[in-house]
Amino acid sequence: MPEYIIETKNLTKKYGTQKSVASLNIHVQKGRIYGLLGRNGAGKTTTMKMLLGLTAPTSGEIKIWGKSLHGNEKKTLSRIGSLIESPGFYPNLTGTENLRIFATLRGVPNNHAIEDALNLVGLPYKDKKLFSQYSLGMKQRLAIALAVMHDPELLILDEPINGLDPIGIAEVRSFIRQLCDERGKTILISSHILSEISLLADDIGIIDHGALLDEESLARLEQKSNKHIHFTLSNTAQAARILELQFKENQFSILDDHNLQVHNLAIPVSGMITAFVENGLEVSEAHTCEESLEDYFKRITGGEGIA
Amino acid sequence: MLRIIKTEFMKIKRYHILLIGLIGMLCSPLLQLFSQMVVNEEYKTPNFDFAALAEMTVWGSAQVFMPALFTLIGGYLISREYSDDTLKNILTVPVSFRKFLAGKLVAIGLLAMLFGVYCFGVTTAVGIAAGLPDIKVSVLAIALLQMTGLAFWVYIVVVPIIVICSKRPGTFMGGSIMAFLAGYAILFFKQGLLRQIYPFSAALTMIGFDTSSYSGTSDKGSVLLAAVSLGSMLLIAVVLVCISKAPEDAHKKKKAKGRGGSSRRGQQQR
Repeated sequence: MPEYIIETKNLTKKYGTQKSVASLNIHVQKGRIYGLLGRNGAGKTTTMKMLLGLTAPTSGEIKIWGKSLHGNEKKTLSRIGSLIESPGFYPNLTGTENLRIFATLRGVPNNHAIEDALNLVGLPYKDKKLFSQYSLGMKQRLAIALAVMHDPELLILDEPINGLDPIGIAEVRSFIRQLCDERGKTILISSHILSEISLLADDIGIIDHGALLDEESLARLEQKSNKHIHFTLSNTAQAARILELQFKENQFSILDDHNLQVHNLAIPVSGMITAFVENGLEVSEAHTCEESLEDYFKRITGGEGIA
Repeated sequence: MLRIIKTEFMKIKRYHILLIGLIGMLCSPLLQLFSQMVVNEEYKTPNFDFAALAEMTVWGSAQVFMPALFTLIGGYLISREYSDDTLKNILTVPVSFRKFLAGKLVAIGLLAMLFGVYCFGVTTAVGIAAGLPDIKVSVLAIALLQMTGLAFWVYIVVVPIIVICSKRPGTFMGGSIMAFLAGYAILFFKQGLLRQIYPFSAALTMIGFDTSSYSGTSDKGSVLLAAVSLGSMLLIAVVLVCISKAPEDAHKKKKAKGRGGSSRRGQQQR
């Protein structure tokens, strides 16, 4: 049985009568990257805020390291690094000065922790530039540096690539992967960008309108995507008989008189074409169709896709 | 707690609001000196020396400058945690909102006392620059103790206002006006129990300041009643801090998602 670092049971958050998060059950395994994928307003940030004790759940339970978060905030949160929404720092201070404040509050014993964190995200140590003069990308990098500065075992990162340029995105992706692979960190990351999640996450939770629609490993999710061989030919009824008699195959769908889909990818396409042609059928088209992760996402979210 | 107080002093570096405090406190002795220079001869304080300037500065500070400035600075320092969206980083350290607020209030109190010392410094400088007579060590010592002490007690009086303002970001300006009006109202409490327990009068009583020639009080201040009054203000502040909760989603800024949305869409294609 996998060891869950984060586990929620029927986690719900209501604002008035509106449910922002509805009976959410997520399971984040140790040493893996869990991608929480959903459109804007799906409930990702609210979920993360509840995991960090920034907002109280209306109902449900949060377990982190097997213990309820409620009542264990001090012990639990000190082992977590987080980035929630936009980076929040003191504009009148430099990046180093900002990190020093939080290092002091956390009682970080390592004197090089600030310098190491800044190096990790590619920001200069003891630079004179004030936070108010930072670009959006620099602010985001500083927020990531703050999240990793105290060497936490668990990272909760809400849209960490927001505001980064393509090179910055690749760098952040690379060091998040490194943190997981080389330092054994468990990482919960949210994004509304499917490609980012699919490039980074080991496990994916798809959230929409506050509800978790699916939770699988990336590999399993890709397997679940719909795959088939599509034929366009002169007579689908005759083709169906050939499949049943000659190939002993009944996993196919007849779409109309000329279009047919075979769902068993184990049968060689060339063999089926030869059989159809030898039985006097005209085959005008044959190709393998594979549903992308995005198509899958669209399908299970009701076709709205990702913002 | 010490860590919170230490970080509060680290945060105020380059804060422009402190400049307002420094200028405001400088205005106190300057205004007293200026008023002596422009009023008619019959209204002038006879034998206007450094002791008189220091005394008038204490009165002006208690009545106008300290209440308004301390509330303004204290409220602003708390409000910035919301507007800079830094509260979420503090709460996830984790530091409880109550502990954070208490630490911040202690730090602001220490800052207020430093303003009291600064007030003494600028009063002395103004006195020397104006060539006032009798700048003696004994007078200087009394002025230093009175101004620092006054800063402390006035701060105790305005702490509840600061705590109330801390619940809603951006309300500190209203709190500052309220503190100013409350300070100015000292003129209306000249006798009886109200003169004794009105918190700003009590603050002056605690530093041994004679208000009779300024607000026309007929009764001498009772230290015991003043202590009860100020103790009550402190108790109110403690209760307010104890019942305070982190305003849910007060740390929430408008979500800046979808930046570069159209360009990102291209990246979604696999």
